Amino acid sequence: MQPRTSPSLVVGLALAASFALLAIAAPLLTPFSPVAQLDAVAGRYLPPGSHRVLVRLRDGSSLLAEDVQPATGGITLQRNGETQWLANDRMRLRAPLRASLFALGTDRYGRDIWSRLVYGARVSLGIGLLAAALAAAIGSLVGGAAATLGGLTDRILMRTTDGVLAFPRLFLLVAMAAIFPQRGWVVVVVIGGTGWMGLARIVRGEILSLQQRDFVAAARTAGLPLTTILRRHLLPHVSTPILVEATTKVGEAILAEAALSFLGLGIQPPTASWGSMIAEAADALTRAWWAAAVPGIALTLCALGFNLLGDGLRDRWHVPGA
Amino acid sequence: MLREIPRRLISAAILLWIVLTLTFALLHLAPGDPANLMIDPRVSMAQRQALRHTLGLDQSIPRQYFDWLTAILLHADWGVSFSHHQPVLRVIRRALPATLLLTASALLIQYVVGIGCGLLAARYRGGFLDHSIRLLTQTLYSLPVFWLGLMAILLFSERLGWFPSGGMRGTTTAGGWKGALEIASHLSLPALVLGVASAGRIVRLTRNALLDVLQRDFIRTARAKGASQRRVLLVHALRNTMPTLVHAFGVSLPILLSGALVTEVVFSWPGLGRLAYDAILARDYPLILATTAMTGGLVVLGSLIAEWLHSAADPRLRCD
Repeated sequence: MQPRTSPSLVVGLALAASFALLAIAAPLLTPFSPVAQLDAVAGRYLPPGSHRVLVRLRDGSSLLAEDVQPATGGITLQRNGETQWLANDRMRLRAPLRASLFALGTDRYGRDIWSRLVYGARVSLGIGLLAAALAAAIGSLVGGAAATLGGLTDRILMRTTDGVLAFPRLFLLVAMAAIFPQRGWVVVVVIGGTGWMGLARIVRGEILSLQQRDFVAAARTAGLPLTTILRRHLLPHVSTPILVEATTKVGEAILAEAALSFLGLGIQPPTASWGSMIAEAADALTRAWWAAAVPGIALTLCALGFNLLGDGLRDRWHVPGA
Repeated sequence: MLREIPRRLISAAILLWIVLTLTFALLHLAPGDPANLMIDPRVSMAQRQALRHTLGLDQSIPRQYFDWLTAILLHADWGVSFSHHQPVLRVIRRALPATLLLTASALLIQYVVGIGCGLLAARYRGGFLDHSIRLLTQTLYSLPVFWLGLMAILLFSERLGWFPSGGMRGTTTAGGWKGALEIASHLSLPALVLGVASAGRIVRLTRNALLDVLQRDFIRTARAKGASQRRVLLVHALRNTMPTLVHAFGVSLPILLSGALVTEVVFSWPGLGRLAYDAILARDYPLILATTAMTGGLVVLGSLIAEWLHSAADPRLRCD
């Protein structure tokens, strides 16, 4: 059959690739460090599109001024609606002044939201990809073992799978994340460890139906050992559905990480994670809507990218599924 | 089906016991002591020991497990909450109606939106509307519920002032029509957010099931007999998707309860999800275990109801 390039595939690939690019090239794309508090007083909650002059001081901190004029022995700056005089020797020696645009505004600590957003893509994609890979590995192992070993093993494994599947996942996630120390790898393990069940069922079903096929029967008649049959005849056939399912799992894992970080149980501040950015902005919704809106849009687009990609791949490779 | 119920209940109870035992083990083996969270770090060692004794935390872990399990099995006693200083069951009984109300309303909204969009997508298959609805469902899958909730609060509560953004105290604050109206005004926004955010699955299921049914012979017969498109869709086809949709209800429930946890936190809704979340943060062992059991129990109950409805909706299943 003619391979079909659906709009889902194109849009999904474009979105996922854009976010991957953001994550990889983060230092090149961001004017500021994601954790730099540029001006805790005058830089709080600047609306998107604000222009400020960044004045870098000798002690490593900085100020954000609306306007800067040269003056004797220093500069005068307009900051927070007041005029201030600043001596030359308080400023950094090299390039103390920089005109800056805050395209997406700043948050409550005077940090640049665009820079945090771009670095947040690293957290989301990193955790999303690793957790999805872990889920795919566990799911394939459980599903593969259940299908090939059969009998009691099959029943126990599938009962466990159904049991975990029946449980509200976020309750498990929150409980596990709260118990263990809040580190990046814990979040990966917790999300991957609660997301493998669908994959296990798919892999088991695929292998069971493959075992009915003639080429597997032929391999078995030829006396090939089980591991060879598994590696040479079964795995190549199940790798496509696994890949499709794992792609949608990335989107799911990204959302799970964000939910955990939103609840304060995922990636800890000051590291920029989209979920914790939303949580920090939740208290000041009316004052600075953009601080909560922007990371949420990024989150939705990123998850949408992987969901569309999985959907498009499923269509293209004719993988049956929900 | 009815003969199946005892067997299903027993296997559900075993599953629940395993989950609770694992939770118990995880909680007690994890570093950190709930007594430390409950009191000022400056109090004396002796006072802390006394607190640990009243909470039963100074016993060995197997001993604590045994005591906890026998109290439940023999006296239906789930212990006293560390943070609420009340019997756990009383705390849960207060939170349960709020969660049931929220989940049931969200379920209703989920099905209404889902079936509506699914019908439209199937009716205009391959057309602009179908593609738009497909994109919409993918977007719904990708929307973080907590963020949707915050944006809804921003738009509908803060800017437009249509609904209160939170502050629901309990389902039993006031009686009569006034109380009902107050509850409804608090309920609308969280229920809409949770329901719409989880409608994607139902849209997709409805559409695919309808397309499947529409290819069957009896649909052609109905068309040949001159039934209108509307009648074919709404009467002949939709009725035959009911078993699928009813079955999906059982699968929906855990997802909906997960969503309820964040929704309750965002809207400060006094339900089971927020109770569980607060209990976990406070390391309130008895309450964590009881909320875990309660949500597990709700899911089991829901899937049993779904299966019973499934066999009611599809007579072919009754003979098994």
